[in-house]
Amino acid sequence: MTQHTILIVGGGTGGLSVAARLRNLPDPPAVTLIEPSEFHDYQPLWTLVGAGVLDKQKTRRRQADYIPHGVKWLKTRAVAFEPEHRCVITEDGAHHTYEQLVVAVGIQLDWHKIEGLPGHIGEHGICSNYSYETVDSTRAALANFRGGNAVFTFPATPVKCAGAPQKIMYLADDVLRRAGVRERSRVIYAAAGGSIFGIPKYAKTLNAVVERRGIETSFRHNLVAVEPAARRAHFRHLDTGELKTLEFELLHVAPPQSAPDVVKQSALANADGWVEVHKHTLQHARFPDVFALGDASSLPTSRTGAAIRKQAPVLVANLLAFRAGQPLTASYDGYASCPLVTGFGKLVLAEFDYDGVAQESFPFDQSQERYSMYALKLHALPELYWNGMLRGRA
Amino acid sequence: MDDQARDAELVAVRELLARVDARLLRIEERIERAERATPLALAALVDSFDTAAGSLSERGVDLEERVQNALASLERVTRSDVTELLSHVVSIAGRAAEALAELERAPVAPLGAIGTLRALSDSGVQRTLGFALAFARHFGRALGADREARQLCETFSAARRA
Repeated sequence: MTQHTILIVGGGTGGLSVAARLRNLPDPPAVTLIEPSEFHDYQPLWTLVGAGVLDKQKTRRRQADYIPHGVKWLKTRAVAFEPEHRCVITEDGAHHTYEQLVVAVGIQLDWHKIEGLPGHIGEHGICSNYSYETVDSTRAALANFRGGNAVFTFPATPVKCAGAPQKIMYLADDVLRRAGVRERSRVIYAAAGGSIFGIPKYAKTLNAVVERRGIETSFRHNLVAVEPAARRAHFRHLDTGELKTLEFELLHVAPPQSAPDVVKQSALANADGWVEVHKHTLQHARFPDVFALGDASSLPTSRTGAAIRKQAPVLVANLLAFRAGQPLTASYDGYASCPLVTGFGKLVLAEFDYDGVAQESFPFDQSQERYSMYALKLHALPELYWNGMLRGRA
Repeated sequence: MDDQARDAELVAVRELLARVDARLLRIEERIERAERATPLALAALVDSFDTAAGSLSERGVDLEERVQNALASLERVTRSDVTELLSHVVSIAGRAAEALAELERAPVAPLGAIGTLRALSDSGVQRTLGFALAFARHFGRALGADREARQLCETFSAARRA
């Protein structure tokens, strides 16, 4: 059994941001990080990778280069949480106890929940931007598309970056127009949600984009099965239960997602499987020495890197207050951001809080499609991420 | 120091502090004005930029592609061999400018075939011709080595033939 002061599980955006902020303190506490990955991916750019703007290698860097100085990195995987015993068990069988635990294990892609899909991404026009391994399949599917139905799905679960399924659709529409095949194709957004976007201010712009592009929408439809060779996708209507089948030449799948099994199977989870934390303090509802942020947490906001950027300083402040025996005064307001690419060179920068109120960073109307915001996403935000967020500076 | 002198000094310090205070107030007002104006100016600037970008996009100009091309060109132009070459070009352009200035001062007489032959014996004319021929030789080789330029030449040739 190994004893740790602050144990962070997960070296993604949340885990590294918190680790860096803790180690940047004048008198930093000892921090241990459990993370098995060799590489760290900047996932927000995968939309542009799928559309052929960038090579995916540009989104990946070595994890070792971003482990903050002074952090003890255990390159292994957590397989069990035992918060009753203040203990995390890793795949090598080791037991790690802690004074405080930070859970930042991200989200799990449940490809298997779509019948017939596993093993067929990259075949028969089926593609997905949702993982490093599959993102090139979108570029290939678009390059090989000669007409027919191009279908873009959105599952009936929380997802990371809820804008991603429609961003690639807008870019795909541009690709098809440039290739001269748009006239003999239908672009269909088959989404489990009830509208194009949850915040009315941005939905207004996006509905106009959908109309301008001639995109067909099919809301409340959840992808449940695929027949890859026959190129048929089956959807269930979430209200009526009716099945609907769409033939496709291209099917971009946003997979169902959930909290990682290791969380679901632990006492940390709420009824839906997420780490149950207070929505303002980020402290666990039942285990006060546990904090969580990011995609695996129960925070009722969009699961985006921008949200984590605002969560990390709150978590660190409250964790330190807890260690000092003081009240937790830092508060997270649910801020999240979604840079919605609406085509090549166009982007709507949505920013909002728990109440759906716009919390825009710039003094102009961010609901307009703008090249400046597209350039920000492509050129500035990656630098802010690698050199700001992951270093605990932004 | 007697009381009178101390009082005078205190009055002077008080006046100085009053002047500093007034100046600080003016600076504070300016900062507040700037705080109010900066977001508006930024908004106006970005709105103008995005409007222009939108117009270009409607005309089929891919601004992002242009930016990438410009960056690639900048990368080429700032290569050390290219900057060295540019330095030579500027130097030669300077000499050419000097020659043009000379022409302004001396009248240019019409020149026939015999005069042209006679001019060939002038060392200055010989140096210029030598430079022009050497440049043509090197430039031709460079064009031959550059696939893109060769294709461009072939395109021009084809166009002329047509």
